[in-house]
Amino acid sequence: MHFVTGGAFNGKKKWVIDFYGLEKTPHQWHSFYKKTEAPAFTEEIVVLEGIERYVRILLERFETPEKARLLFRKELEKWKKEDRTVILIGTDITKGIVPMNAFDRFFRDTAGWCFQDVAAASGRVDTVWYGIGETIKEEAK
Amino acid sequence: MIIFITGGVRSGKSGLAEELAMQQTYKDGRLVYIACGRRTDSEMDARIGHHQERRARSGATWITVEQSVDLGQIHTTASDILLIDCVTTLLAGEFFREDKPSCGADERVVRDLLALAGRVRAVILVSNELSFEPMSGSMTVQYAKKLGLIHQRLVQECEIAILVEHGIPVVKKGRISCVEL
Repeated sequence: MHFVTGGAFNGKKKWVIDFYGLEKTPHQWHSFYKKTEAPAFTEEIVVLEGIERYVRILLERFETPEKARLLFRKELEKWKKEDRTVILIGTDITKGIVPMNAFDRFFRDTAGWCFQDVAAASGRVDTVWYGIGETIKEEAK
Repeated sequence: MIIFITGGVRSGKSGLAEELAMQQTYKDGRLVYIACGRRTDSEMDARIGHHQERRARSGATWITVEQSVDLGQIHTTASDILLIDCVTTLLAGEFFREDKPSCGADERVVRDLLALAGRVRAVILVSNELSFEPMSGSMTVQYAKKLGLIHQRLVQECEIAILVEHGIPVVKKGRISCVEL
């Protein structure tokens, strides 16, 4: 798995499209901004966009950060076992002032934990800063 | 040439930008400081005063232009060094002006900045890092998205891109010679 993260509107999606040559390569693109359920994988290359949104969806469904994280980990295990290139794109929302609203705090906490799980489960992790990628983890093949 | 500098508030961005601007000058080159912020309250006045004092102490002669829209119309000469402070207030100026639609604000900002860069010696751009927080309110999201798109374009077009972290310049693209902040 390959985890691509960074702040909002930093060009993560474009970076992934360029890096994998997706304009010319068949792939499955799933956006959690459009669909709330995780998909069944069909292509060799699968991109899951909006991981932080999926975390939020799970939190809304299961109410506590602990339960949401457990379910997220189960999904993550499934994705990891797939014999395909799976790319996860998540917007980093974990830096900044502690939100006033309790749900927002839970959301941020859960996103932080789940992103740690994603990074641990991924063979490669890149952060994208206005289009410039920086590899912060890369396991030897 | 474009040098793009970003960072958090009070991270030392403007100080670094001024140093780099002064490094670029030679012979007859003018140092032009373009202030895009608007005087809205006394806190803003204090902020502006702080920057003015530092430029006065810098030992160089600065020409100051206060303008927050239509930067492409500023009169320049080929040897000028422009320091534009900052892209976020410039976007706010273009975004909230009443005679043009806000939806084209990002394109206007990029067009003006690239036009300026094409006719002077160097443009040093200061901006602010986008937040890493869940965003609320559609106007905030719209503004942040536009700022993100502008930053992506500027990082693509510039020779040097620097993220200033707590006074430490982290060079993301290109290279700079050592400067003392």
